[in-house]
Formats: sequence, structure tokens, C-alpha cells
Amino acid sequence: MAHVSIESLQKKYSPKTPPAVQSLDLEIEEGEFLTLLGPSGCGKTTTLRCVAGLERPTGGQVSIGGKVVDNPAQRVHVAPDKRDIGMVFQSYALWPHMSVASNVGYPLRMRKVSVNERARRVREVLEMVGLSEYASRMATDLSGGQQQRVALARALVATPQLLLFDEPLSNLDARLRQDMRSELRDMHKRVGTTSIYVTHDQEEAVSLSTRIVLLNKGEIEQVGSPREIYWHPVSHFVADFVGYDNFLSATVVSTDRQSVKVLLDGTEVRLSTSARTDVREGQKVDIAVRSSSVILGPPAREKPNRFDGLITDIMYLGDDFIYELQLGPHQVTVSIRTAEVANLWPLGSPQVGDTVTAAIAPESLACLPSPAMDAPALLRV
Amino acid sequence: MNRIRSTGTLLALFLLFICAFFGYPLAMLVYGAFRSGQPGTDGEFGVAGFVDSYGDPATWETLWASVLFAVGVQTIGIIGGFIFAWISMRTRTPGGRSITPIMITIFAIPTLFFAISWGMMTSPSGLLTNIFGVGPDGSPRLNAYSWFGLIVVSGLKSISVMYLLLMGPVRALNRSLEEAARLSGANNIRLFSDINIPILLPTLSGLAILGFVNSLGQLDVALILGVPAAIYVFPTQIYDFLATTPIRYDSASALALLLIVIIYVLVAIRSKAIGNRNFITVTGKAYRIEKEEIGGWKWVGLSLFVAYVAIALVLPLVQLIIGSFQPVLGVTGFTFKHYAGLFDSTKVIRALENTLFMGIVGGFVATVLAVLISYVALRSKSRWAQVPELIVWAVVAVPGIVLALAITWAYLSVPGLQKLYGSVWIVLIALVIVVTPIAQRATSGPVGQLGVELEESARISGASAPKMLLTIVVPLIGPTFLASWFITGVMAAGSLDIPILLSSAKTETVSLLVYNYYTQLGNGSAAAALLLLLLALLAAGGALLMGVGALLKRINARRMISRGHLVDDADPTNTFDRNESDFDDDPTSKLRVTTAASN
Repeated sequence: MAHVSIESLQKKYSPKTPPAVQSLDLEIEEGEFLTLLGPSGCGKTTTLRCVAGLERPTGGQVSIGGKVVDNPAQRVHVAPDKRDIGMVFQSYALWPHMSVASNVGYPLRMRKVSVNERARRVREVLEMVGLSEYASRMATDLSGGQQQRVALARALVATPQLLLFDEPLSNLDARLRQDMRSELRDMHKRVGTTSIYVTHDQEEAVSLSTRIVLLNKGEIEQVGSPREIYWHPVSHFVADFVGYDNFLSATVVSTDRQSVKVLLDGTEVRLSTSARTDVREGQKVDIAVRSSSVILGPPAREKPNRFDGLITDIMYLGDDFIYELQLGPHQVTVSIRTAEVANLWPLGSPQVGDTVTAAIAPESLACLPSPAMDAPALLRV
Repeated sequence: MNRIRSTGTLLALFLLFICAFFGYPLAMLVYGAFRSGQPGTDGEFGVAGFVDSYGDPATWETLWASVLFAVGVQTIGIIGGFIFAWISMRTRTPGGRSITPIMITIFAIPTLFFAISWGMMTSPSGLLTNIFGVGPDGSPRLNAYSWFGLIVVSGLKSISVMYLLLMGPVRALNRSLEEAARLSGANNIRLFSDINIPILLPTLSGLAILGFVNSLGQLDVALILGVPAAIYVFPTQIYDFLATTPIRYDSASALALLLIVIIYVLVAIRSKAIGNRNFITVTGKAYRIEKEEIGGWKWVGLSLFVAYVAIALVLPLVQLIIGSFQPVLGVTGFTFKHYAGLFDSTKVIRALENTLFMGIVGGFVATVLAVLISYVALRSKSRWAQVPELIVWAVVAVPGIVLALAITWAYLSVPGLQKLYGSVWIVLIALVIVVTPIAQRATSGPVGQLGVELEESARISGASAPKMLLTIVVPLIGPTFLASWFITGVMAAGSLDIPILLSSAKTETVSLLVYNYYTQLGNGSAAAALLLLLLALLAAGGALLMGVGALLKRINARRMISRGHLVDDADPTNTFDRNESDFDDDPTSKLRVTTAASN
């Protein structure tokens, strides 16, 4: 187990293109399960490969367990085979000419572990991933999920100080992916090895990690616990990536310790302060909300943050109903569980053209700097 | 109903034609081995030919010599081909991008070129003799007319073939398998010995056997460099039976049968042993396939390649150019008379015409046949539809000299067909048979990928069958067709072993004329000039092909723009574009599969 420290890491592939990773700083604590999350091309895999030593950084420093393994300025580069790392690859990367047992035993062979000890530990780890009876099969004769387990066993067998995962579940079908996800969680609870996990799947990131790093264009957008990332995105990009699907532009009218008040087309909306505190009065912001966080109901009781909206479209998705609402100039998407629709409107659900009331709890609203803030001054209204 | 019956008849006719065209000559070879006398004359059935040739201890010496030759050549070919494939595909060696085009060039140059130029280079005034000097007895230290020359000269060419066959597998090596080994603690040496070599082993051993088989049947080098040194291998022995009186057709045929049996046994062993153990098919998403920095080693790689190009291509070419301007080969002086003589000679003009005809028509017919065969196998639901493919596969291992002999039996024995003998058609038929398997390999991949739904959707969209062929099928396989036409055309034009048996005085080809000038007439300078002319022709053909490719690409691009849509992956016409760029990026993508049977 080891503490990993990444300081102003930079990786440039060619002088012409922008760097894949620029000036990335990250401290990974012992025993942590950290996920690098982001869309393709955000630099997450490059970062992981730099830690593995498969890629040579062009700037900054990487150290594992207090030992500097990469520092291009001082010409330090420790070869991947000298880093004591286990890695699970997206393509499994099982050697097709070896049996399951020899695949798994290979890291031990390289570490010159005796034959008997090797056999014992291979058996142990294969048992752990539930593949004991496949030890003598050829690795590539197994199914995708089984191959992924062999790859995991191979990464674990030598009890490395650091485990790396490069989108290990993306080649599996949805069902298997869920199973493997919980297995990975259990595995981490049991062995507790410091782990870095790369994925573009926010659900995977949220369910597995102790901490998530959201990357965009080679830079960190946000670092936080799954809960923080999920409920308190700090930017439009993060909110979009973790599934916020309604963005409404508004103006801040007042801020205090408990809440932020914004004006959304003349309607005052209250947000809980944990959403965002560093906004000033008069500032233009975007408020974001997930379609699943909007509550619909007949126009009645007094609740905060209520709006009347006209239904413009209804879509039935089986488990959910999707309502498109017109709230003043804004289009808002609302999703309601099918079962709940019957509870809400026992006398028959509303139709296109009906007006309903939408309520949004202050704590499910995120307040984001308006993307127009990033645009040149000329474009700002 | 009517339609079904007529396609059935068509298929039957096609099958019959393929069997007759490809299968019948081989059957006649067996017939000829058991029969005394010349083809088309009276003779008796018997085993005299077998007794004659198998009873002769010299035959078994020839067998041993052939094995030695093939093993030597393939050792050089595989090791060299592998090293260069690795340098070009995996490392960032300066000039690495030029390796593939140069290898294609060496591959496309007729074997005759290497044999004759090396013969000249080690003659008393040759380039290599100038470098290495003469031994104490006054003869050149390096002598191409020897075991050394035979193996090295064939080996140099074999390197290019093996390179083209290995570049695909080497590039396809899954990088994440290597990365997984590195992270498991393996250093570079362990990586190579534990992972890379075992994964490539089925491919390497398969290629070794394939190459070995091809070397067993190779005539050109052995004829030019081996025979003067009294080194006989199977093909030269067969040729000797036929070229020296008394002509012994039965012995030649018996020997040819033995060669074919050996070759088929080896091919069978290969497919049995390797079967489906080909790890190369295992692919995975690689993070990147970038080439590696190898530090100081890149200069080692570069010098290796420069040395190879020098001895395989540059020195021979320089020698030929020098030789072609010498009044008499080896005598200092400068004259244009050999070139002038070439164009004065009606013989040469006729040979040029014949060669062009063989290359252009032979390559075209072979490619059309190959596409038809694959297409029928792909589309017809009849269980017989696969038979033509099998027959063509059976021909792939038959050496040219053996096939030429088989053709002699097949066409001289039948009164009506006899008339073809001595005409340009008999040579063309033999060349088409020899190069069709290669065209088949070059085209079967792209033809096999013609999804039936691409055609169906064209029909549904309102295209008639011919229009569908023209607008969908032809653009999709067009680039492949051109590439295959070129490869097989070059091989047909440069072939020596077919014309040497089948050409008459009127149907000589340039390679045959070169051979005759060089060996029979002792006019090396004229041979050099003529050989250079042949190379120029082939180069012009290559340039034409590249020009057509570039033109097609531009037309295609313009069409895209004028239609006003962006090129994207979903656009079906883009497949054409992609093929084209494949071709640019890797001109051998079609060649790679092709080369197995060649040379």
C-alpha cells in the first residue's frame, strides 16, 4: 500500500497538439480508491499510464510510496516492471499462449517466488475471484467476464503496493458490469490496496470510489467525494457529465448563510447554501437540476420554489414518464416514476396542454457560474 | 423457377471450367509420369520414369541439395524479414517509413535480376570483386556461382517476402499484452522470450514451412547461379531432363510428382500442427500503436537496413547499369550500342510486346477469375460453390516449372488443343494458373467483406443488378482489384520458369530473352540493358497504378464536396475512401496476404 503523489504532471505527445495532461496535481492517500472520471480525450488514461510508467511524462513529478518514479526534469524514470504495480487492462490483456494459472502466476514468477509458494498463492487468488476450477484452461477460452476476473487475479496476486484499473468493465455487458462492480468493491474492502480507477461511466465512479477526480481537457474540473460530485457540481461541465439535464439561467438577488436567492424570470428561487457560496448579488448564474429531482403535483399547497408549467410533451419509457414543461421561456424536462404518477393523480394523469405545478427542493438545485462567463466580454449581455 | 435453373446451370458451367482449367493439367502430369514418350506421341504405360529418376542416386543428392538450399534461404529470409518488420513496425528508426516501399520494390523485381546482377558483381571485374579482391588462386574471393551465392541471393529476395508477410502480425501484436507483462515485472528480454516470441511462434513456423515449400520449387536463381557450379536442385533437375537430349518427359514428370508430394505433405503438416493456434487473431483495443524510442539502437537498425538495400538493390542496379554500357561485359569502355541494338531487334520488340501482353492480360484474367471464384463462394448457396476455391488452393503450392510441364502434357496430348502449343496463349494460360492463387489471396478478404445487405439495399433503393454492380460492388473492390492486377501482372511479366518451357521462338518474353542473352549467347551487356528495360517497364506500371489510385481518390473527394456533405464514417461511399487511404498508409495491406505463394 502506498501513497501516490502527482505534482504538476504534464504529458505532451507532440509540440503541435495541446498537451493530453497539463499541470495536474493530485495526492492519493494510502488505501484510497480514487477514480479518474471524464469523457474520452480528457487525459484520464494518460494520467493512469504515466503512473504505471507506460507513458513518460514530459513535465512534473510522480512518486509512489514516497519514491520518485518519474521526474523528467531530473531525468528520473523508473521502468514499469520496477514499480510494483498491478494493473487491469480494458482489453484484459491475457496472454493467449498461457493457461489461466500461468497468466496469474506470471507476476510471481517475475518476482522469483518459489514454485510451491507460487502455486499456493495462485490457488488462493483464483479462489477469491471464483475461478479455481479454471486454473488449467487456456486464458482466452474463457468468457469475457471470466477473463476480466483472471486479469484482476493477475493484478492482485503479487500484492502490489498500487492497483491501477483502465476502464476494466467497459467491454462487459450491462448485467456483468454490475456484478463485477460489486465484486471490485468487495475486493477493495478486503485487500485495501491503494487504487486508481479510470472510467467514463459516472455510475461506476460514484458506486466504487472514495474520491472522484473529474477531468476535462487534461485539467482537473473538480475533486470530491461521490456525494459532492453528484450533488454539488462546481461547473456546467461537471453537472452535465454527472447527469444534470436542466440548465436555467438566472440572476442572484441575495445571499446569506443558509441560502442563495436567485431570480428566474421574475420568480424568486431559493437554493441551499451548500450548493454554492461564492456568488455575489447581481451575478448571472445557471441553476441546474436533474429531471428526476423535480416534483410535480396539482397546483396546491405552499412550498418553496414552485412554478406553474404547461405540459408540451409526454413520453412513456416504461419505468418512467417524461414530461416536457414550458416554464416561462424555459423548457424543463421532468421524469416521474410510473408508480408515482398514479399516486400523484389518482383521478387521471395530466395531458399535453394541462398546467401542473413543478416544485424543486433547494438542496437539489446546483448553482453554477454561467458558461457565458467564460466567453469573451463582447459576447456577454 | 426458370431463373433458379439458369443460375444452377451457370454455376455448373463455371465449376466445370475451373476444374478443367486448373485441375486437368495436374491430372495429366500424373498420367505423363506413367507413360513413356513425348506428350502427343505414341507411348507405353509403365513406371520407367520412376525407376529412371528414383533409382538414380543423383536424384537423392538433388533432394538433399534442395532441402539445404531451402533451409538456408528461409533462415536468412525469416530472420531478416522479422528484424526489418520489427524495425519498421515497432521502432522509431530514422527512415523507417521507407522500409515498406523498398521491400515492395524488391519483392516486385523479378528474381532474374538478382541472380544475373550477382553473377556480374562477382565476375573478375565486378563490383564485389573490386571490393573484396581476388584470392591467392586469382579467382574472385566472393563467387556467386556457388552454394554461398545461391543461398545469399535467394535469401536477399526472401527477406522482402518475409517482411511483407510478417509486418501484419508484428504490427498486430497486442501492446497491452506487453504492457501487462511489464507491469507484472518482466524486463525487455523476458518480455520478448515469454510473451512476444511464443505469441508469434505459430505465425513464424507457418511462414517457415510456406517459405521452405516455395524455395523447393524455385527455378531462376538455381538455374543461373547453381547450374554453372554443378549444383542441382529439384527444379533445375526437372528442367535438365527436359532441356537435354534425350528428353525424358517421364522422368521429369516423376520427379515433379515427388516434389508435389513433398510440398503437399509439408503443407498438410503445417495446417495440422498449427490449426487454429494462431494467436495473432487475438486482438484487443490497444491504447496506442505508436512506435517506440529505442535510443542508440535506432542507428543499428538504420545501418542494417542501409546495408541490406545496398547489397540487395543498389549495388546490383549499379552493376547492371555499368554492365549495360560496357562494350563487352567486364571490359572497360562506354557504348550505347546495346541499347541501340535492343530497339533494332525485332526479337526484342516482339518479346516486349509478349511481356506486356502477359503482364496486362494475365494479371487481369487472373484477378477476374479470383474475384469470380470468391464471389461465387460467398453468394451461391450450393455446396459445390466452395469447390473452385479449393482447387485454386491446391494449385498454390505447385512450382512454375512443374506447372509448365503439366500444361505440356495437358495440351499436347489432345489433338484439338495441340494447336495452342507454341502460341502465346499456352504461355498465358500457364501464367494465369500460376498467379490466380495469388490474386485469390489478394482479393478474397475485400470480396468476402461485401455484405449482402449492401447489395440488397442498393436493389431496394432502385438500382438494377448491373447498376448495383457498377455503383456499389465495383467502387468497393476497385482498389483491391487494381492492386491485385498489378501484383499478378508483375509476377506474370517477370516469370522465367513458365516461358522457359512453353515459349516458342515467336512467343519469347523479355525474361526468357534476358536469360538466353546471359547464359546461352554470352552477351551479358545486352542482357543487362534488356533487364534494365524490363525494370523500367515494371516501374512505369507501378507509377501508373499509383497515379490511378491518386486520381480515383481525388475524384472521390471532389464528388464528396460537390454533393455538399462531409465525409463521415456512416457514409457508405466512404468505404472507398478508407480503402484508398489504407492503401496509402500501408500499400501492402493487399500484398501482405498475397506473397505467401510467390517466389
